Amino acid sequence: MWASIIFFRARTPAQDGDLVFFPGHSAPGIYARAYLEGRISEEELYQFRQEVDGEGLSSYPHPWLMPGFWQFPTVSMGLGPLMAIYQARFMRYVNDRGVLKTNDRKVWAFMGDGEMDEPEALGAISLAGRERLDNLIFVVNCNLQRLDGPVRGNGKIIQELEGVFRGAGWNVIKVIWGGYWDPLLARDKDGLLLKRMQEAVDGEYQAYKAKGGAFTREHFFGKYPELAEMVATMTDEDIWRLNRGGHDPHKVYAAYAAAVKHTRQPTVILAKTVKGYGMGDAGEGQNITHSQKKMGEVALRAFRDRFNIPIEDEHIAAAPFYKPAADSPELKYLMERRKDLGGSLPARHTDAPRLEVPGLDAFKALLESSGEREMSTTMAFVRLLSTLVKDKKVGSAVVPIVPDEARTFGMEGMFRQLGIYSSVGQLYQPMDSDQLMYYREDQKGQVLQEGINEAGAMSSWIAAATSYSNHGISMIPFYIYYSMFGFQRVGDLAWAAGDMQARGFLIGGTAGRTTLAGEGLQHQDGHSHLQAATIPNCVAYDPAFSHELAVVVQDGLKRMFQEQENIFYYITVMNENYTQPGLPDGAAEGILKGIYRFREGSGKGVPIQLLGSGTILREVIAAADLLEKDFKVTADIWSVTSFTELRRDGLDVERWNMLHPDQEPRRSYVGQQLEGKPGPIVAATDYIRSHPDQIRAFVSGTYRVLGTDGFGRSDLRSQLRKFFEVNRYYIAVAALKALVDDGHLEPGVVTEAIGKYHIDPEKPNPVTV
Amino acid sequence: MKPDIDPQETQEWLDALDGVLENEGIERAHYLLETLIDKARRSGAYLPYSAKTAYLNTIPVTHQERFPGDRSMERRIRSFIRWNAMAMVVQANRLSTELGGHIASFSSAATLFDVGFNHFFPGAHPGPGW
Ligand SMILES: Cc1ncc(C[n+]2csc(CCOP(=O)(O)OP(=O)(O)O)c2C)c(N)n1
Ligand SMILES: [Mg+2]
Repeated sequence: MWASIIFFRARTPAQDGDLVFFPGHSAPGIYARAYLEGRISEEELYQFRQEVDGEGLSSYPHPWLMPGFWQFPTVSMGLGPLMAIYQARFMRYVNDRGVLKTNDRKVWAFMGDGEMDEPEALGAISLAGRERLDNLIFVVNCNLQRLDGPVRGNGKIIQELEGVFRGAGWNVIKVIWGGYWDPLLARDKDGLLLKRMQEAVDGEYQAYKAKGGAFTREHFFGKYPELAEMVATMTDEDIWRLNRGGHDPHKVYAAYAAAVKHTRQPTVILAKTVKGYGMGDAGEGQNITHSQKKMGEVALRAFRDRFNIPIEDEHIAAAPFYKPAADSPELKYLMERRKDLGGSLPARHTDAPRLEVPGLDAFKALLESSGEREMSTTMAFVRLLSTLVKDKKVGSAVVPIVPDEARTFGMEGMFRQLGIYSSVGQLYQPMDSDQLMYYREDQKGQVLQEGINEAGAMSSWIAAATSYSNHGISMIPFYIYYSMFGFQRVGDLAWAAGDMQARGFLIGGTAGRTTLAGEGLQHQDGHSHLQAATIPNCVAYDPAFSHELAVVVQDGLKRMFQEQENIFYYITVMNENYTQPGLPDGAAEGILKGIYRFREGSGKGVPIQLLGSGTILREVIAAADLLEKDFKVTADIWSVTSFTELRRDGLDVERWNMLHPDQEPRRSYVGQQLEGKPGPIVAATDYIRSHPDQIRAFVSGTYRVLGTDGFGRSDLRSQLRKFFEVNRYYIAVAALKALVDDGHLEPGVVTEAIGKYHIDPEKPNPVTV
Repeated sequence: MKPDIDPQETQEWLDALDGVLENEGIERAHYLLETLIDKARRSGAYLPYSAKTAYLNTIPVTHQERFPGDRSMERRIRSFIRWNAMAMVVQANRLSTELGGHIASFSSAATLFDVGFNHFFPGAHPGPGW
């Protein structure tokens, strides 16, 4: 291992808090506590869900909207539990690697019982069990209801979850009954009460709370005369008051105390509660309660009486907020408790020190021509990464993440070089141990090998990419995956990453619908760039050459980790081998903005502008040669590294111009670059046409696009490019047609080209077959 | 579970278990039970595995760690929090039902959060507000 560097942190370890995932729909309760603590004002409470003008409170936990408060966006059900597991695992990883001491901190994740329907909520629990994440505590609020009705009306959600979690190696603590049941249970010598408890299903338990004490006496206890006898001296009110475990602080305390002490297993607490507790006739235990947002005066009065809120009758209809005086025993107690525990929560911090990232010269090898040697951009990426991990200052902050796909990308060298993280080291001699690049697992391993698990890998990436805020140190995660199994597979997590202001690199490997040739329809990605474009702080590039890749990654390192911008990168890399031309002088700015002129035409002939990105740029170059040779057309060739960045710039300029009609209009970058360049413009990419279409509004004159709309299929690259009509011949024909339409050439040349290049004009449109 | 066909025999086994628990402890009892199950399985018995326990609290009353807080004080504080959480949703929806919000979810979770806030979650450092 290379020397590990010491990270300087703004916060001392003693001040680090636990990380708590609060369920989205409970946000009002968290605000209400922060209000008592003086962190949120009354004015702000009045602006719950009114965020546009001023200091409103966000509907749910959104770090993007309340960046000093919320840490974890949880309201897309299932993502909270999943991200919590990988957060706990990431804390183990940095601890084991000696990067940061985290073993005194815990991750708490609160979630709904309905939420456990989500595959994401349960999908990673076996990892937590296997990894013995005793720094992780799940608390499932089993109020027996979800949005429409009961979670398991015909069964018992608590029992079901107990089995599932225990099977996955968790410590399970059920908190079903509150203390008022204890005397009854103590008298249950023959087990009849227990039998009745086991018989009743959740649909019945829900009804008992919705319908009250008399109903419960009749339907629960009344089933057996002995049980009816047991509660004979209790009033209906007493029976109604028989509380559930999750509403009894003594029971909850005992469960938490046991959970924090438990070692070598994660703990799940299954707490039985009542949905709409305290809402009375306005919703307690009722199927409609989830969406109940209104309380009439009668309901408000009942709520006030039940909880002894000192608000007078004449004010009650207004439902005013209530806060006792700062020196009241209640507020003193509350503040004292938080002070003892080290401060308020939730709180999101952004005081991580900047990293000093390497300059472009560190990647010199990738900026030079490769001569005769052919290399794919994937190989270039792996080289770049190996260089970066050796950097003295930031090398050990790099977190390479793979979902059982390292060999696909030629990254297996890193297994040996960096080691694969394993909390137990390596307990066996790997079968390839006699080889140079053997499968090395190590407790200090740097690579996160997540298995065939894009959602988990993405969650690991998020944990690392938000380490700057949750742990006070910046890590530099690179998650490398099949581009097809990225945004469309785990897009919701990518959206959450944007909300959390993740900083890191997503590398879409084997990208491009025709470039990944043999794998066929379910692998060939022709649209991930459009998905990436939907996330406002995701910066995406489709570089064609290694020098473009190096320039983009180095700038990304600088922007995210040195200048600490809240952006993350999506970069596609391809597995087609070709020679790399090297960085042209002065091209770096254009590469970053999204377009630069790669080759100027000879000027001898009819001029045209050809645009290309990714591997298809090479078809564009070949098309330019054909056009020159066969039709005396001279093309300027532009490499477009990011249609998406060009569009964002164009939209911003357009907006500014609309709002500043009296000032000199600004010009978009792409507009500036192409302005005055003669001839129509033709663009081709390995993505669907909507991708290059992104800049249509910002270029003047004729603009034609070629792309890979349709379902993929397996074949040779050359065949696929013919099928999708993005090869050099189609580009040439599209160019000639544009020139004809603009009146620069005689119509006959298109027919001539179609014949010359053996194009079948009656071939079906690829989107139809 | 099937009905008990020989309660006397059952009682003998239970008494034996009680004896082990009392004199030799939980670990020994666990060992004996696992060994019995293992023996039955090796003898060809099909014993369906159940990961579920009785529909009771996992921690018996006798093993509950004592709650160190002031229960009624905490209830009062929690009541204020409940009220304000509810009122904020009611207020927003008086302005317009477009705004939405939820009362019932937090209502059910209030104690679960509160015990954490009052006794368990260490904070990072004094919050500057947001
Ligand atoms: C992925 C996703 N699907 C659907 C929803 C809409 N939704 C919000 S809350 C909810 C029910 C939640 O039930 P539960 O998890 O039991 O929480 P509770 O409110 O009962 O505590 C649903 C379906 C969502 N927020 N996220
Ligand atoms: Mg629920």
